[in-house]
Amino acid sequence: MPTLQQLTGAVVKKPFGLGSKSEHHAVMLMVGDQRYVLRRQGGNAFQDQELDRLVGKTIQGTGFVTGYTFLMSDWKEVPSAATTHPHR
Amino acid sequence: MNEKVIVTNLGALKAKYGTAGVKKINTAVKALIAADKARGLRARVIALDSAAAMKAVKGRKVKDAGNPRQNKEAIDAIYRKLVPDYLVLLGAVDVVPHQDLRNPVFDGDNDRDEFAFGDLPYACEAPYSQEPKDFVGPTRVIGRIPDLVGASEPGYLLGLLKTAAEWRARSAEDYADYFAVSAKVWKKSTLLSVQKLFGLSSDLHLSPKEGPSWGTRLLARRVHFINCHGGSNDPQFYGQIGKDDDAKYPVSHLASYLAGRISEGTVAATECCYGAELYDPVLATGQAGICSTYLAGKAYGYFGSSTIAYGPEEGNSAADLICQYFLRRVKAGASLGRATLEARLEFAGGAAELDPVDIKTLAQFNLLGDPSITPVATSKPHTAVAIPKGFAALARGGLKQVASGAVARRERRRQLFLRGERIGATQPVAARIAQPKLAGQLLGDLRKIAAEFRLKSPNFLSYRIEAPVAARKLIGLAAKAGPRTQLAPASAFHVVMGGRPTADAPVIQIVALVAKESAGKIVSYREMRSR
Repeated sequence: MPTLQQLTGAVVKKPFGLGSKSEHHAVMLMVGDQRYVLRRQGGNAFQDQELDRLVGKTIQGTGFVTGYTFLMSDWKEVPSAATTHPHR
Repeated sequence: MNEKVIVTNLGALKAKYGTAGVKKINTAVKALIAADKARGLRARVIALDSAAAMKAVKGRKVKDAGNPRQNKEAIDAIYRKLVPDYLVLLGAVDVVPHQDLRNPVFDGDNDRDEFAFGDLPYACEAPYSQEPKDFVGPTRVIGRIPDLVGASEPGYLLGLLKTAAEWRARSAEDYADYFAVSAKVWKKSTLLSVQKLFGLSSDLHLSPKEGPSWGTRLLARRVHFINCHGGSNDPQFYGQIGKDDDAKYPVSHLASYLAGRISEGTVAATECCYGAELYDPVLATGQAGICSTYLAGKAYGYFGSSTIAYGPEEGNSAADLICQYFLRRVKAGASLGRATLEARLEFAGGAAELDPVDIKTLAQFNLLGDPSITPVATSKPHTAVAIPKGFAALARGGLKQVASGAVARRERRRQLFLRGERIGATQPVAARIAQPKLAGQLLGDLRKIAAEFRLKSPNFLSYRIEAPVAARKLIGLAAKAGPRTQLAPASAFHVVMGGRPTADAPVIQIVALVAKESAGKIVSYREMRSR
């Protein structure tokens, strides 16, 4: 059973991948030195303006980590703060 | 003798559903076996985690349900001992796992599927391996009746078992009308597919502007062909209009909308990325995937991809072809399992060499549904006269015709076995080079191609072409035969991987340019897009 997790981090839009070699820009959650492609559960996986509105903010999101993706079911804006890592 | 073997993992089922749940599943499986018997199939269940059952087939029990190697070895032992005409994997990937084949076009940046998960190796004689190139010659008829990943209540699986027990063949006319949807940007490619499959393409629907609230009559048609985008752990498919920063991806197909709108007996082939991914609905606010929703709606079969799939914008290849082959065989009266095997064989044997995208395609497309279901009734070519040896049990109660059908099926299996073995023994395949050394004109040519497609800083993957021993001998013989056969064969493949500038898309759009090298030069390439 996937474990629900809370992650806190800055939402950015940047090329994906370590030293990304593609020009693809994805909305990502920066959690320490980890970054996750951000998706909203039930949202459009290819185009989600709700997520775009979060860019530049720090959020605390609740959801599931699957591979490189954080599938978020809920979130709230928080003051710029220390990030929290997922439980491994 | 058993024509059909159903394999599952009782321990894994018990962990999900408890003793009471497994009891209900057992009852439903018994009903399926009884229904199969009435149709002339002697079916039985084998628990892969039962030491006694596995000892009886000279195999070893699966100790760890999630271990692909143990499951492959157990299923191989069952096959060697019983040689069933049909093999059913009962349960989703947390009961009997997909095999963990390494994705030949994984580059970490664009195609991020480390594995091209699938059931193909279960359909092959080759022993366990993570190299998909070892499994290009399938011989076995296999399908999966999945439950829901992570489920604790067996209702969904009981429904699927009921569908499998109560199926009935229908006329070809019942499968003449189709429901086809394409992302608008792939209109040309999908038109071609639909024309090849149905003769007419007038019923192709495009997203945008159509969908996902499809009309009831349209969804009630029994053949569905979908060429749209898909994402992982996602109960939606998407269309596309425009490219790069101007692209829009509206929802084209929606699992929650499909519930209750699919006709019993529907057969679907979907090219979409992750179109047949079996995921835990918890990851999608409780909504099961589109594939699971079709099966819950009494669809007989669903053919789709576990991971990122590829196809061109124009013309047909990769996902287009394997889906076409599957549906064509179903419409011609093959069982779902045989249609899957024949589609795999046609795809695997259809190219001079299998490039890395072909190999991923072959590995990732799977049949969900009972493989013994034959949706389209066809006339029987043989009239039964006498009961062949070994089939007497089937002929009791005036089932002489059934026994004759079983013999014909055995003959088809033998033919398919030989075909699969031949392809496996002769088909040249791409094998990844761990640290390719690209330089000079070759690198320049690849960079030029990447620039044409506006891929900045692309990744280059290289592959040598490996020909099996039998193929090398044949090539040697052919070379002596005359000038026609002395054309320089391809010596390597190179894949240029990159994403295109796309605004705000959580799911990446991948462009894979598959280039063929011959005598140190790039001689051709084809453009593939992630679905």
